[in-house]
Amino acid sequence: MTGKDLPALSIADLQSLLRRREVSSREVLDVLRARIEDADGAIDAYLSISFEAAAKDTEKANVDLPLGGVPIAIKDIINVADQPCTCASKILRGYRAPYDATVIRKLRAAGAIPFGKTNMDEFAMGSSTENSGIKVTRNPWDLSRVPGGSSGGSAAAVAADAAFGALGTDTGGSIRQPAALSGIVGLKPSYGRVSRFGLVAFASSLDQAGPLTKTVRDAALIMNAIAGHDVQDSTALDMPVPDYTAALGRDLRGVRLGLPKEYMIEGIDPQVKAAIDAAVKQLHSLGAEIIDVSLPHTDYAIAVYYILATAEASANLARFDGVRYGYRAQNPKDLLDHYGSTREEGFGPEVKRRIILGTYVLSSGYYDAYYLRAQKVRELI
Amino acid sequence: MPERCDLDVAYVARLARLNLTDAETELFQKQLGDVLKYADKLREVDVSHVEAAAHAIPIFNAFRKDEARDWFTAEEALRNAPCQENGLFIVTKVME
Repeated sequence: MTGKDLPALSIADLQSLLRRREVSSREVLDVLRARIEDADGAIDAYLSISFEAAAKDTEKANVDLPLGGVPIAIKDIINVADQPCTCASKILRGYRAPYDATVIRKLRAAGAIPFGKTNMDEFAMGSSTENSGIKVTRNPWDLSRVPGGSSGGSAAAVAADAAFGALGTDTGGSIRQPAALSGIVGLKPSYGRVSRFGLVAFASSLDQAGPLTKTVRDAALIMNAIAGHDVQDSTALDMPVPDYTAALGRDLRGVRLGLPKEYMIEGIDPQVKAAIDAAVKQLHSLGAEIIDVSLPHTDYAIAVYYILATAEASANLARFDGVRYGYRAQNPKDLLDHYGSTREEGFGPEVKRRIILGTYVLSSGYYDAYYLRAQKVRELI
Repeated sequence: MPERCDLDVAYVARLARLNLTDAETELFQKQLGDVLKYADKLREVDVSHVEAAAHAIPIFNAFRKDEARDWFTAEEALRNAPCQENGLFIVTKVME
């Protein structure tokens, strides 16, 4: 193993080298830094990197922990103490997080080193990372294509071996879709499985943080670290966390998987269909029982999403008022103009569009017709 | 649901404390009108027997012990403020 080969390693393989003292955490960080400097000019996955703080962390890294000494990239919507947290928005330019999110605290407790913040669609609103207010990230497999989004920076960094693994967040596909488009593993944990404390909120009833990794085993290792109850998030479930790696390498006898017929609709890309068919075949060959099921309200999911997510976003983004943090417009006429101009100049077009829609569906006279009805249809879905 | 889309983007933007240019107002009026037209399909669904839920898990109250713990100092809380003085956030004046 030469240093040049290190960045391609999975977290699990890297960690066993660290544990056997065949490489030091500091050496790993330096090799990764060189790889990022080499690769990131073309893909623009990172918004900020804190090598000096990370180098200090390597000095006290306990490599006997499950993620000991492993640098992890973090989507720029998750607070990492003393690092920038901009959500790829001009309105948070210059903001430095005063504290660690719970997922970061837990990653550190498992020995990981959060070292850099990855690009995303502004406030996680988008599916291509083209809606970033800072820069566009490209897909390392083909620089003319998008890496997906909104966790596109995390996905591209992992796919390019410019990160061993990363955290993203998923509200309406923002981990799963970029992982798919970038050819890596991504998992949106069930709602309540992972604490949202310290995530900049987009749509609080849907947001979850989760892993983007090179292998399923790595995703399990990160889930082992970040899942669990948290007194600082009332929606984080107080349930025991299993060892996610225990399920690896087993067959699937006794597992019954439903295949919703509504997901295989006309217009599905033939390559996507072929990939799903191949996965189903593989799962079946491993012993899983595959049954056809029907989820009859699937067709309403996007309409429900656009009402609930924008409504919650309009409320969550009300905090960006140019008073406590972030960008502030210069020379406003009065207080109303202070708010209005700060938000006009700080937010990008997609964020504005969603704030308008969300404010409308929550406004007097429309709340029942749109927001309440969408909540009820969600129950049916 | 309302019979037709009566979204007034300029009015909603004022509610949202968000200044928009005329061009943005016009563009959003058209685009969001289309989104709301699409969302009208939710009117087809019978929800008379359904109770709304804020999120997917049945947790309604979560209490922790009411104990003092360390959190931000005033200095830390002010560190990201665009304008501050004497340990206070400075806001745009609200009275003449």
